[in-house]
Amino acid sequence: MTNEDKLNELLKQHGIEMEEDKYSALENIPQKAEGCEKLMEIYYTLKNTVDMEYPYWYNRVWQENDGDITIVRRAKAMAAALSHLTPTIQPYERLVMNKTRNVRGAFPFPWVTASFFNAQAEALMAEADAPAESEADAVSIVGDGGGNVTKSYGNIISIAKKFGMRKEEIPVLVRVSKPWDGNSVEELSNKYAQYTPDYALEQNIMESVLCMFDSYCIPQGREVMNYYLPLQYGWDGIIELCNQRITETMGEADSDGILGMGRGYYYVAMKILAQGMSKWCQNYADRAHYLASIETDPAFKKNYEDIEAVMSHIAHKAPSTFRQALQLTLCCHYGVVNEDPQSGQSIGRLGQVLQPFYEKDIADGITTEEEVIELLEFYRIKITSIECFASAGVTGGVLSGNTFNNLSLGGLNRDGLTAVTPLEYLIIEAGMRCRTTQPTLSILYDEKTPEDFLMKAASCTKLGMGYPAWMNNQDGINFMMLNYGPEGMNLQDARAWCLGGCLESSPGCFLPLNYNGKTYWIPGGAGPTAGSGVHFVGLPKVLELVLTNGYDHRMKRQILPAHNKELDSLETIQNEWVNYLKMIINALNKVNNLQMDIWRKHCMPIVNSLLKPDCFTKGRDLGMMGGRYNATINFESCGTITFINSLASLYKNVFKDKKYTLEEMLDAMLHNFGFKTSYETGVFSPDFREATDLAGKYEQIFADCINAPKFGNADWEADQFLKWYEDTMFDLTRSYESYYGKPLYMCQISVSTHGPQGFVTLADAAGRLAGTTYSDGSVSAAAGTDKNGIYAIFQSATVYDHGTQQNAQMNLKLHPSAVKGIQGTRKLLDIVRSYMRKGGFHVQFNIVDSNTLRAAQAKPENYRDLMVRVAGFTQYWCEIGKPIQDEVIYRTEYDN
Amino acid sequence: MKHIDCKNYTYLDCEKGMCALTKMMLPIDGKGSDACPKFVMAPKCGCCTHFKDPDSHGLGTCEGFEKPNWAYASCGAGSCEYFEMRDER
Amino acid sequence: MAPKGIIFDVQAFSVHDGPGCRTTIFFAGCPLRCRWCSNPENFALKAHLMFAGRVCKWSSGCRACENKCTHNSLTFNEDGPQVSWDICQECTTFECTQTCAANALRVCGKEYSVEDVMTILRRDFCHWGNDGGVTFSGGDPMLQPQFLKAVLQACKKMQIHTAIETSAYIPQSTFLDIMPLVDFAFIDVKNMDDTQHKAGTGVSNNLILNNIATLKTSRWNGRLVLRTPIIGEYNDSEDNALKTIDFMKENGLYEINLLPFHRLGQTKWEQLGLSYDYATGGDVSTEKMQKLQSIYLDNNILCYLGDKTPF
Repeated sequence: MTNEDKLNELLKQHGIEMEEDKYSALENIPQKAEGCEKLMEIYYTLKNTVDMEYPYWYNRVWQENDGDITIVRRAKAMAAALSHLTPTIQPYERLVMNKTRNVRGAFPFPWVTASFFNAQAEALMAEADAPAESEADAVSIVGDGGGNVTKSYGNIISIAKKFGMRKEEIPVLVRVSKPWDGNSVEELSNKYAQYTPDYALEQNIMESVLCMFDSYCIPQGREVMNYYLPLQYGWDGIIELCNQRITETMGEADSDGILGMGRGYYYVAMKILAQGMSKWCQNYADRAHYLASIETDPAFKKNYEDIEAVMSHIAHKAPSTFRQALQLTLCCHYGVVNEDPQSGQSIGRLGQVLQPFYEKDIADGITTEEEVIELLEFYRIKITSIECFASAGVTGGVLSGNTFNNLSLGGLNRDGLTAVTPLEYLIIEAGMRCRTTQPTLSILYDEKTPEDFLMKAASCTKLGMGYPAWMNNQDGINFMMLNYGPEGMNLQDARAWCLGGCLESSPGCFLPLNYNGKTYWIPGGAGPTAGSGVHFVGLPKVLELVLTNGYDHRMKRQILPAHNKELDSLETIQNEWVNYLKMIINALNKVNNLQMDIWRKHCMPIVNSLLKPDCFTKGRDLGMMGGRYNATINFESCGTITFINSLASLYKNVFKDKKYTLEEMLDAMLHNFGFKTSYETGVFSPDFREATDLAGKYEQIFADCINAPKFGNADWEADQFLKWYEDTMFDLTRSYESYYGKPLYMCQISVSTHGPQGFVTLADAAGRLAGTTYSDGSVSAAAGTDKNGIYAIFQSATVYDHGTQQNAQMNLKLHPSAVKGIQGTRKLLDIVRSYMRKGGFHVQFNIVDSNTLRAAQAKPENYRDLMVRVAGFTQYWCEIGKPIQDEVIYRTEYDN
Repeated sequence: MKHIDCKNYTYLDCEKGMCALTKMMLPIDGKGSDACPKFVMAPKCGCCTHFKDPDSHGLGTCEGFEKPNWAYASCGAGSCEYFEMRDER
Repeated sequence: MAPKGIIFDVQAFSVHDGPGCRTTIFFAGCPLRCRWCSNPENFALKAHLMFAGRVCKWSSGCRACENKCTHNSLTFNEDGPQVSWDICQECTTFECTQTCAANALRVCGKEYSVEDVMTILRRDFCHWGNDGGVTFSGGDPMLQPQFLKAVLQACKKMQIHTAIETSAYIPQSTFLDIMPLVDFAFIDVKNMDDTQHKAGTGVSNNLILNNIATLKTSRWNGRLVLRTPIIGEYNDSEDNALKTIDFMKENGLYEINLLPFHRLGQTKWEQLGLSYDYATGGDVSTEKMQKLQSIYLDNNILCYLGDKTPF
């Protein structure tokens, strides 16, 4: 008898429980399916690749249809592109389709942005210089490891420091880009942006990286998919519906003199698209048929035959099995992410959408739980392979390489009861067995969520991949009602919300799926992108400019007009900060509105305009407000807590204790408190300091800045500024209108712009040195400044109502030993629950020790599968840029 | 002939693919990139009867559709409604 | 006047100091001087200096503490600041810590009122879940009995679950006065042999064992778990285990938590200018720990190793 058995025996006698940790001990978690193992082995060797098949066909058909109605023309171009892609099926795959013929494939969208390729045409053709860098590109360091192609080699040209393109395709890229010279969304919007009164200011703002990127770069995403129509009708059914609607609407204005006539064209476009989607599926069926015909191994052959059956079925008909339904949702997902450069195109509440299919298959005995888990593992690999092509500033700086295809679980159903389904347990199980970066999982925590489901989710969080993250369902519902109430959202629709992108609360609705003789109300997205407004504005940099009277000491240029105010009180500083911010948003918002307006007129969503309710009902595309809810466009902030801490220190040291004058403070900041800058040392870790000869002069002020009150310690002296900030921003953001004529609101995720934006910001009054990262998240304490533990951070974070904004982001790190065993799972759930009960919107955990991270930084090749949670999403460690790596190590180390 | 031009070649990324018959990784360039005796020509624009007058970069004219247009040789054509394999013999 | 106390740390989400999630409050001051102690900063019942040379930025050019000491204690050589501990032990002003941005020179220990502590606990109460609460640790919290009792009374008023980690080396009347306010107790029994106990901890174990025995015959109905840090060549013998078992049985005790020796506190000894006897030695193998556990288990004592506990 082992000690463990003896102890358990004795415990039983004493009536004490000590359960074995069956669920989250790694050794107890079943291996991923063999095929998944093989696919991941291959995945780890793969390079991000761009090729030209899609752009070639899009461009060809677009040009050939010059003069046609735009939405029809675009649908034709897109349908042609999708239906001409070379289908790739790997032998171990059970779910198929890809964005392109390459597994981690992507492609440029010259119709969105072409200037780079046109400007570089000669250079590219000469295969000589590496692509020149825009301001944002120059400050992003995309992680060297993994699938990133950071340098050209052999016959492969590095594009945007992340993707490899074959040399023989460069002439194709150049030729496809040419017709878009001056016509792309980018160039057209630049043309009209020049008419905005503050254009020069807007240019300054972008060049100084005060704001991180333009809306057109990623016009879609940060939203939730809706799979309803194809699941209900299939492509043939949709084509049939289009025929009916064309007959009903063509030539009829139906009392709408502006948009009524557009309906006919819309349905024509949708029909063309549905035919293209159908053909795309059929091409995979045909390829599977060929592969089966040459295959000698019976198992592989059978697999290809199964794929052929699934793909030829969903090419036409509504799904009749779980596998078909899952494959169809995947097909829609690829369709959408291929229509624009995108990140954050989220899957939504898949386990609720597909439950009817799962339920029937299990009842009929045609599948088993284990088979479904395996399929869901294959699904994870498919989603993990989705890449997005954008400039390095966007790909690395904003996305850190992850495309945020978030999958939400839990929440409430249409009737206000828990929405958790049996299938959702299996989605978590698949996430535990097949530990890939995507889809990242989000639990919509509600007090009605079953405890065993929460325990299952906590067991998964404990494994240290960073998912699931935890979101507050009631905060989400409250935000929905607040923001979309004016558009008529009721409580039922509010319950359909979930995460689009890493943390963007997005509106949804429930639709009636008829399946197996029953009606199921399934949730899905019901609006356009819940992002793509003004993003990302570096709040600390705005404060810096207030103190420097608008002069950027890094660029040695006046960036904002001098305010010439005597900054004699903190209120004056706060007021000037608000004034500058208004000036910035005003300039940026107009340009962003133009960018998005031109995008929606020239490059309107097609696939998404089919899928998103109520586009098909209204006969109107998503760009023209065909969606049910349209107040989705936001203002995105970066560096909240860095900003708050600076205010707290200015208040304490300059205005309350009057220990230093503002001039002395500014002098210390400009001299980086006498330390070498991270530009000089190349180290971005917040605690790395190397003194210069000047250090002596600033040592006292530096210590006082470091020791000033900091957010995250339940110290009102600092936290009051967060409350002030949130209250101020609530009204401020809502005083600007999006191109949909709806108020903006605030999104508080930094993704990973806190690296590049910290890079351009001087030392600050809180003792953060020049060039080091901002704090990440919006309510996480700045690294190393939380001295009173997690509960104090929770207290500080909830000094305002999180339900008033789209989100609030809390990143925490825990040492693995704190959550060991089944007791540890309960304790993890205890802290999640208590934070949610306090009204916290979101919390996510890094559960990994710093020794592991350091080892991985030294030898990335040995840690290819190590994942960490960075600023709202999960990414492979070796694919993260070094500044963010340094910051994560520092954060992780601090508490140990 | 190269592996990448074979119908049994499965695309993976910009430097390699996989053989559908052997499930082995195949490099696109350099050593080991030459096709094996089981080679079957893959449908690509470059081997289509409608593809005319390619230049040194492999850009030529596609005459398969109603409106002729430029095309490039390495573009996959397995999904093209008008693809016809050129008779190489 | 309401009593005040010296506390040197408050730890949130403390998960190995009693049932559930807890807030642990570390009181300053300890009557024992265990040679392996991992929290030596708690020896003294007053605010005092610590110096962490490891995080000092001297080597990267920082000179912030130069000429800041008004007591002629800090001197400097190429390795950085050198502390004259005999002077610093008497310090009450700590000027040198005020310019140290690296937190290398810092004050350990701060005065709290009962209300200060209760503000924290009131804030944390909602985070403990069903099983959690507050744990008073140290040092030995019983060394500040009036303050501890006042805090415990306030906790009971709010129906907070209370736990304590104590050496029980406390006058019996004080010990019995406080324990009724405690729901869960860890009491350390470091060695059953009195001579050995004195050698390792500086004090006799008579009072400790006697307090435990008396507590068990009192009407106290809390849960008591003995705790023993197992130190190689000191208390890792089977004989000591058997004697502990005898003692437990005599007194109706059935739970013990054996903690394997670790050296995590070593740098703190250095930061206090103290010499650490266990820089080498004292290690106990996993096999040895398991062997000891099996002896307890075979005698029907619930014996938990390290953090593998049922709470």
